[in-house]
Amino acid sequence: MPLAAREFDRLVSKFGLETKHGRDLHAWLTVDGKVVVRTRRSKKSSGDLPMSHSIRQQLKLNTTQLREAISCKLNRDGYIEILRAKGLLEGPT
Amino acid sequence: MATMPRIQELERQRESDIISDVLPPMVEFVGLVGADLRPQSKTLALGSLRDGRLRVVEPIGVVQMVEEGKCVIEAQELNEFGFGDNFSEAIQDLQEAIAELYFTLELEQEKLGPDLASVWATLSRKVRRADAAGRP
Repeated sequence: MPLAAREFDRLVSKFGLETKHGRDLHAWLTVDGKVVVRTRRSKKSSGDLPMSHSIRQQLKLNTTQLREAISCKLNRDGYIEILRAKGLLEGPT
Repeated sequence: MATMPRIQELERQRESDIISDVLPPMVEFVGLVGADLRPQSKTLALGSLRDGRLRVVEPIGVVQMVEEGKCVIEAQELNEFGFGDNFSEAIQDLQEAIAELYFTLELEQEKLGPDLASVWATLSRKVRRADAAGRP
């Protein structure tokens, strides 16, 4: 499914991702001090982002979950639960 | 320590996925931009990041394709991609993205979750700092 730049930015804000502006917009989620997921989008794209499925995979969401996130049905807590269910919150010791 | 097998499992799974789904028995080695880059799905191996600070010591498997009019290069084993109006731009975008990824994960390596730790394990095996001692 397509993902527009403004939708990407809304997800970043809603999920509380930290960001760094460089050549691209880099975003990552930190939970309990662990960097869990990371993604980026080109600043050159203002409409639909290329490789939106790769961005979705970097965010560890399936198509339905991404759709729910864009439509505001999935918040940060729900997102973290999805990541937890996938075993992505068990950091190395 | 209990999470180490989990990281290894993720790494094995990623490599298995790539081997079974992406990499054909033979891959081509692309050291620099400008190789045979036709707009069709094709598997290659990236041998340089064109960043003087980093050396690729083990080729990075990439797939080139055209998607919605954009040339795309994807390094599935690193969950990273580059794109552009042509494959030269796409490769350069990917090279810069991988270099950025290297320095970011290196900096944060002590606090990576298991998936990114697995990516870092792969990346740090294939890419080294150019000034690192003990060249392989």
